Amino acid sequence: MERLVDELYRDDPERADAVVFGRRTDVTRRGFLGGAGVAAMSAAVGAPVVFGANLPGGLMPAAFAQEAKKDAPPAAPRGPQRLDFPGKDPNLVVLGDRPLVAETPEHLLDDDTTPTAKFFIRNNGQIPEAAREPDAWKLTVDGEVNSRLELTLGDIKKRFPARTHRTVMECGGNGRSFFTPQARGNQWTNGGAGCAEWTGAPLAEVLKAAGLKPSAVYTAHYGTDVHLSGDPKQVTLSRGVPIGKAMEPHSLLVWAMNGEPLSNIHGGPLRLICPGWPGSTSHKWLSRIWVRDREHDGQGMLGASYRVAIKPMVPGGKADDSNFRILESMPVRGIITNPPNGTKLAAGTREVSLRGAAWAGELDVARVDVSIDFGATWQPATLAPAKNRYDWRRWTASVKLPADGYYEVWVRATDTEGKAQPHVAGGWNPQGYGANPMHRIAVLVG
Amino acid sequence: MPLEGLGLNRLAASVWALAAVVVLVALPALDSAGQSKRVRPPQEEPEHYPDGPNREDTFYFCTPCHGFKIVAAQGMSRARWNETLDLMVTRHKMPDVQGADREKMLDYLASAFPERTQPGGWKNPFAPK
Repeated sequence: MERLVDELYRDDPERADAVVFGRRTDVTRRGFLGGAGVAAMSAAVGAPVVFGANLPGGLMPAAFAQEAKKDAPPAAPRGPQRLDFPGKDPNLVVLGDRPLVAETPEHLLDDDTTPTAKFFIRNNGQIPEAAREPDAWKLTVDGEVNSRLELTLGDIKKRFPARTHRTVMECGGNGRSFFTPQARGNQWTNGGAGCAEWTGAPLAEVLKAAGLKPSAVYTAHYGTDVHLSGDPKQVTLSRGVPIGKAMEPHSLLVWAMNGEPLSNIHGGPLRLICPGWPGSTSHKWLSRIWVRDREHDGQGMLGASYRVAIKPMVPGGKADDSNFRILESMPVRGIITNPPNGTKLAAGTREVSLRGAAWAGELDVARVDVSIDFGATWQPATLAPAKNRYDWRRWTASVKLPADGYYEVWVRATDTEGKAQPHVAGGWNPQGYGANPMHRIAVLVG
Repeated sequence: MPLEGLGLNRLAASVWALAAVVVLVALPALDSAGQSKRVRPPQEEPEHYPDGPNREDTFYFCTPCHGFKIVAAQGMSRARWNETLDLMVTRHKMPDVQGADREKMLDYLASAFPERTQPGGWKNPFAPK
């Protein structure tokens, strides 16, 4: 039954609705023309779909959104692969082993400050050996500067003021798995993000010490992690930011995370943090900043990498490399961190408290709203203040549940420019950046 | 030597296989206290993935550099799989296999991991088993 349903929805969602549940959507693509479909669907889910009449047509009911397991051999690993890594929470979900990539399920982002153990992992290359003497770590600043600098981490700590900010760090591909058709790359849900306290020296101070020439336009970042092929001539990743972003006071050369020396897996002993922008600009194991007289063209800067379409393209269509612009600020995103997806509540429960987080790249979050009726009605959540710019906003809300049954709680954050999260991932691009549809959880009462 | 099944240039195949050894030997990891430990990714086998012609060749062609889990996590049309191989060539210096050998890999990739058009990304724990 499950496989049949999967295939039907994959091939023709509206026909699947009609075949499986006997429902047909009206021209507005919302709601049903008949009630029989809801009843059939409720029977299949095993509980009443309380606001089933609002479920958009052609959207597979969440309870069937399980991926089809196609002809998996008996020995194949099943379900999410949990992370087994020293110092990291075993409930992180591994998206890839080589390179090691692991995301944090939304309900594990329930702390105001994300503990290091729960912080997501993204590597592009091999994981280097940990530095034996962190303070002897060397950083070179060269290119369009008056004086080339070679600084040890010890020098940086001595010469420049230390700042601590709590800022969101987010993978540029966060949300990628929500694209239809599937976009290429690690299939992040919302867990390629966390909000930690980063301590370091403002990059601006170091660039000022080097003396920027008028020709300075863009930074180019290099680290010591070796390319996956093992070829030392290949650059694993080299991205950069415009000088304006580099000079922004929250762009830091970081040596401590949550009050502890920055661990190797998070890029220690020295990394960049360029908050609000794709995490690839926050280079790990940072060894060189090359100040350039033009937009950087390093590994990960060109083609469709870390870029989004300028003119909207047909999802799944052929990409024209001239139609992409660099993804700078990350889009607005909200998540529900409690209760966890799949929470069962006692029969008769008529109210549930919600907690979550929301952030908006370079912008602030203007509002967060929640819905328990598939977006038909919304109510505002209460936002906690931000500690500093680029911090996330923790939010709380309480919703009333009119009856026992199956609910989905949806959250929608809106940024200070009035942009809200869409219903489905928009702006499809082949490598899957910028997907920020509303987060939803399933809750069963009784 | 599975790569020979694809009739690859032997030199390229050897370099690729050597790279595999380098990657496997040189994948260190350390815990937060800086203690050196080696974290071995779970052993992957071609049999863990959907059966089909050219599975072994495709598996051994991709895995010198990266795990196959990331391959199996994709779902793409044949044309986009082809673009993906092009991307691996231009961006990561994968040997540029063309002709019948590429077609064989595309046959496997496009049939084992075809384009999925249903909404992805979110799993419902109450889904009927």
